[in-house]
Amino acid sequence: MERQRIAALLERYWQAETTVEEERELAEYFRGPGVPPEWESYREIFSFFEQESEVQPGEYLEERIMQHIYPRRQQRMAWWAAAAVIILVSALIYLIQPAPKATMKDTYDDPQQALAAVQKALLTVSKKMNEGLHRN
Amino acid sequence: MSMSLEVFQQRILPMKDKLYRLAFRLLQNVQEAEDIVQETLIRIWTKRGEWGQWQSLEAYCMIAVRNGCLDRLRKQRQRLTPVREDHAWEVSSPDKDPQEKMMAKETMTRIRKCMDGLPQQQQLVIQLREIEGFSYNEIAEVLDMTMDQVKVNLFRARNAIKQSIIKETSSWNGNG
Repeated sequence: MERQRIAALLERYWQAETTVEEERELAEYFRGPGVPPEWESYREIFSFFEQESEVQPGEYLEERIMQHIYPRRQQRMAWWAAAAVIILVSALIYLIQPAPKATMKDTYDDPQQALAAVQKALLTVSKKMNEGLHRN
Repeated sequence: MSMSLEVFQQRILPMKDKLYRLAFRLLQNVQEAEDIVQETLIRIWTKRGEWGQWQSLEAYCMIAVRNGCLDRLRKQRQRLTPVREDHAWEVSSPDKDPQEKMMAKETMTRIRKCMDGLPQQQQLVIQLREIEGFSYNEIAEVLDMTMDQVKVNLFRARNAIKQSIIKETSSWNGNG
């Protein structure tokens, strides 16, 4: 039954009288199993067309086109990246920078005098500490 | 603005495979076919203000690619003959045994040679009908033909392909 229908469709197909839907039906039939040997060459033709319909451009074509169409997305990304870098760098500079050193001034010109003053100071501290310790 | 972008991404960009196949049919060169598709779609994007006036965005894209290719061919013909890329369509089917694979490949080569040897209009009609599934109306619009011309071209092309394969089969039978 199906074979008769396909034979009739084929007849009209060669006359260029089939509709798109009927041609889809033919393609479907020839894709399936059980195509009689005398129609083998027809199967090859439909298989050729199917194979051709799977041809595709390289995978990056779409990306290349979109880069021309909508580069703003990249631009916006670039701005965000730049902002992030600026914030990061400022933070690093702030963190790494050493605290300003206290500047010292000489108070004595004579080393002997200075030593005496230090000894006096240490003695006073030691005395005060001893007083504190013995108070308990 | 974002409306146009949406239309572009949902209706125009998905046509890229179809447009590429049309370009490849005419130019027979992967790189050139891709270039034409890229150039054409970028140009169509720059004309987004006019989209509303076009009857069919799809037909417009197909026509633009066809014209781009014909233009390029015309320029090439003035300089030198185009280079064919025979490897571009080779397919491997690892599930078949070598002899069967070779036979199938030979048949495919025979069909392809026949198709490539057809007059350009017949090639294009076959491409749009058998490979892209276009209606006669759509083909007539894209190829700037009458419906009768579409039908005549399709009739001739189909029968040429049928003949090429029948000849092949009978020559095998004769030898074996």
